[in-house]
Amino acid sequence: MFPAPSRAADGKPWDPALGTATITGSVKFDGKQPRSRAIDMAGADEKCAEMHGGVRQKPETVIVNDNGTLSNVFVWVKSGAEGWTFPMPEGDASLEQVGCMYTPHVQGMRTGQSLAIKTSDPTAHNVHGFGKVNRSFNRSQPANAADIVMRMRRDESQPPMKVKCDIHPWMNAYVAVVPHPYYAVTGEGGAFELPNLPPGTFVIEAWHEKYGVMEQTVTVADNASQTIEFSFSKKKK
Amino acid sequence: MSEAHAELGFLRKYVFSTDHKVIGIQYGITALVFLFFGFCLMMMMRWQLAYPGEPIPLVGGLLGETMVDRGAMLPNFYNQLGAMHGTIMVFMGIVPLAVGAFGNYVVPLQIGAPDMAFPRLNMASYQAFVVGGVVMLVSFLLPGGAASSGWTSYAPLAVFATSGQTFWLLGMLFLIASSLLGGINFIVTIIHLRADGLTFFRLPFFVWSQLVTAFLLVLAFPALQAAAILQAMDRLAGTSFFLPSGLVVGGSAVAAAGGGSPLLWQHLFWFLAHPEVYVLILPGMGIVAEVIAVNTRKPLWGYKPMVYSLLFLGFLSFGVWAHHMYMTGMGTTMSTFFQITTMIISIPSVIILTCLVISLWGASIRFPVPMLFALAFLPMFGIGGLTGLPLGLAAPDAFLHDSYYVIGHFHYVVAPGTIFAMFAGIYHWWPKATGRHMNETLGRIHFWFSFLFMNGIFMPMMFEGMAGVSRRLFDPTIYTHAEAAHGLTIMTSWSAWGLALAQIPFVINFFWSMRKEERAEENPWQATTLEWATPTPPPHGNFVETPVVYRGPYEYSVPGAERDFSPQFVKQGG
Amino acid sequence: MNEPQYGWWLPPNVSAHGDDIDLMINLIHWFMLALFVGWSIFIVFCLIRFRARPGHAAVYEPIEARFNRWLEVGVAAAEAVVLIAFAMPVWSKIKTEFPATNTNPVIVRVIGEQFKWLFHYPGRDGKFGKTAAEYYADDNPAGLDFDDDDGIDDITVRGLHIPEGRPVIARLVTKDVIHSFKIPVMRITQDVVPGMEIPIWFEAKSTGEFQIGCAQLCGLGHYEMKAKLTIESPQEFQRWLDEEHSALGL
Repeated sequence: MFPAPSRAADGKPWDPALGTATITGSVKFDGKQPRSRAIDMAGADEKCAEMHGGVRQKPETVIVNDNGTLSNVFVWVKSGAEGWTFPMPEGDASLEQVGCMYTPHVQGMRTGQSLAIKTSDPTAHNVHGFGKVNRSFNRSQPANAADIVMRMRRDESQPPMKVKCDIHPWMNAYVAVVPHPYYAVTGEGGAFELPNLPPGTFVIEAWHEKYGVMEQTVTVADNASQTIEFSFSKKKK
Repeated sequence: MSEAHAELGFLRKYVFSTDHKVIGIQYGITALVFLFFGFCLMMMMRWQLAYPGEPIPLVGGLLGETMVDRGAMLPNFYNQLGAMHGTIMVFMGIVPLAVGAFGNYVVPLQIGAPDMAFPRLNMASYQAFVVGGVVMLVSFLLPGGAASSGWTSYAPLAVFATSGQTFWLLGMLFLIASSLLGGINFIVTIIHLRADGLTFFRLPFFVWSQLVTAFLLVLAFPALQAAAILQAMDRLAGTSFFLPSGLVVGGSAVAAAGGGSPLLWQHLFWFLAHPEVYVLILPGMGIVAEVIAVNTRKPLWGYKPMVYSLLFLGFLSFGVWAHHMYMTGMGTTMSTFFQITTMIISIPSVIILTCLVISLWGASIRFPVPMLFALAFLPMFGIGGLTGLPLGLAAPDAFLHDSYYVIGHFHYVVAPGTIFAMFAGIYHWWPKATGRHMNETLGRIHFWFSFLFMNGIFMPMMFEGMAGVSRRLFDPTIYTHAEAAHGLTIMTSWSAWGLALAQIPFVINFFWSMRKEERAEENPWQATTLEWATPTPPPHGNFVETPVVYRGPYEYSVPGAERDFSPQFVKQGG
Repeated sequence: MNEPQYGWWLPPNVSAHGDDIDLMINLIHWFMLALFVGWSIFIVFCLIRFRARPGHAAVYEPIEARFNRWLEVGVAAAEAVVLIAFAMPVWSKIKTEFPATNTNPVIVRVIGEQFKWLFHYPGRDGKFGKTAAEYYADDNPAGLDFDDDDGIDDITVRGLHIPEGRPVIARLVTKDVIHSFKIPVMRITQDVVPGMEIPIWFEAKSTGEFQIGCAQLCGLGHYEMKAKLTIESPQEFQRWLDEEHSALGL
């Protein structure tokens, strides 16, 4: 009934000397880039379309790279990193609204860190965060408005929190809130790297907004590196 | 007849009182405070509408970060202000003032009764009103803010709204309970507690208007009470009375069973809300009738047609509700039915207004402040009623629906209509209730500036609606056609702030009259109805001797009489 | 294209049935003005003629009933005429007499969602692809079933293009809450109700760029829920359809 408290404050302070192992890999996609329609911004908000010079943007829901890998997959250590309290990164995580699109589309941040939502667009946005663990929020952000800073106090990565713009329905982003620094988002090459792990056994989870989750268990020794591969295919989540 | 009571302590006498006059004053003060609060909400909205995106002066710095962005209003807060302005003005302002305050205070006096039929029920109905009002106001402090789905709370929007909507539903449960208890009280009181000789057709028109209003409350409100419970269940208990299947909000499917209908909410809501608008106007018509009769020194013209019109209006008011729903996909048969009933219901209103107007013919018209407000009511209600015509016909309504024309229409009826009638009533019965006079000069300043600014607010809205500007828009200038009409918005906003200032003489007058030594006589207006037979102010039990009624309510300038008025309660020789 | 001239009264009318509606609105307002001026003159006259002054007393029963009944019958008759001769036929024409197939209407689905409109055309095959609520996704706002071949050429855009002089039948649906499809210059308003598909039709009689708005409170972004309406000549409309067709990669 009550959301699980953050694990960030558990455990002994992290000793960086222990972080000698690495897990790397890539996320493959079995299939071609699926059909989708380009976003027509002009009919809805001309200011959005003008920022792209009238060129229609593709939705970022499924991006299959030329090398057969999948972008925007959130990869993280689901278990195996308990018992430590890791130092917090400096500064806030950031979600930007540029050209009526969110950047980045998928990101991870630390439990207890703040998310700074910025806009540089000449049109009003409305940031709506659908938190299932963290509190939902729904805040207006007129053109040139100040940053909206939301502190994420609880773990939320199963699934990550969805953020939508209420005014421009094609805008959406995902933010995963994680109690340790072992997470990554695949980019153009579909690759990820989780460095500075302590030696041990970990469950690594890969999450994609449309194709769901996949898990693998990996054991990695001191000063060693392991490579794994995930493969998603086109099926309903 | 006063009974011998043990002397009551302060709390029993003024806070937990069962005396209809104390309850009436409690209702009056509470309602005026809520009206002022609702007015303040609107004044903030008016700033955003006239100067979109500009920081709000005075209060901008005081509001929280979910309400303003560096002082400038946010859309979420604007929607809350809109929904709560309507809710507060209708359910916490006008109805408690018109029925709870004036009805409670004046009706037992005008029928010669010592109190209402159920004094303790009366107290309970006031307390339910206060609880409901507090619940409504407190909702502003919730993290998600107050209700923001319009005073109409249409499903499914209201079902998905933040917790402020749940508070709205809970507040409505209490407010409706208050009106139901009050309505029953009025019906029984008027039917059973009339003095000897006071037959139905000797009742003052004000009492008739309260009787019909009470029936409207008792018969119509249960529909909204039930609907509010159903909507609360949709929000909290996983039901789908108003949610159809297959809804997708914000990209995620709604976790509801589905199979419900949003139109069901609208039918239930408007089944109440149409009779509700007659609840808002009838007591005001009653007050205006009283003030006109007294100040024209002749009987009201067409008293009987007016009473029959009241009864016909009350009956018909249950058959027109879907004229608020013409745009929901209604076919020709249904819309024809409701257009016909809507056209027919305009007839009794026109009869009542025309009779009041014709009552001026052959009169000897005095112009104290209550009469100024009562006279202004006539053309103002006229404009309000007339502008209902293009809205009541489905085809022009296709263009005017949910535009500023509608806002102008209903505000004309309720603001320079009912509220002016309320002012007339306050100035008229003030000497009886308080034993003091109000200052005439301050009253005239209050009247003229209020009249000016009321028109300055609502007449531009008619044109804005014609220009195609929709209502409930945080920033209408997004639309080009609304940008062209922006000058009208600015006119309206400045008139609204002017109207606020115009109330200052009224407030000063209140204190001025309290400090004056000079007391008012028992019957300063030389009126004929029974409330003027009591001492000033009336004691507990009201009448020194139980009154007996010998004639009709408006026997002024009777040929052959000694004075130009023959009170109902004085047994003159024939 | 010329900028439409907006002001403080009715916006320009580009709709075929708009003239009927404008006629009714103006007629009713003349009637209202006549009543109001009549009442007001009478009131002001009475206030002056019958004001209290020394030597002037009120008369107990000054008028006979005949006058009022005549006025009442007149008002009721005028309302009946407006209702039967004007309002009902226009309403019937707009709401139930849909254009026949041989008028070659443009058929478009209009999908309302918080807080933008989406317009779905059937494409060259003239058939709509299957849509369902279960297919709604961030990259598929129209809810098309991509396995259905009819939907491959469907055009889904956020601005409405229509040709001048050809009727348009719009089927209105909504994904979430009640919206209202309003185009002031076309003189149409139609609520969009969840769980219902409501058809309306209209026909433009001149070209231009205009705005579509939402006329029923639908939440935070209600004020921003606008879309562009482009009325163009039949040739330009065809050219636009062709452009959209090739933008789909077909």
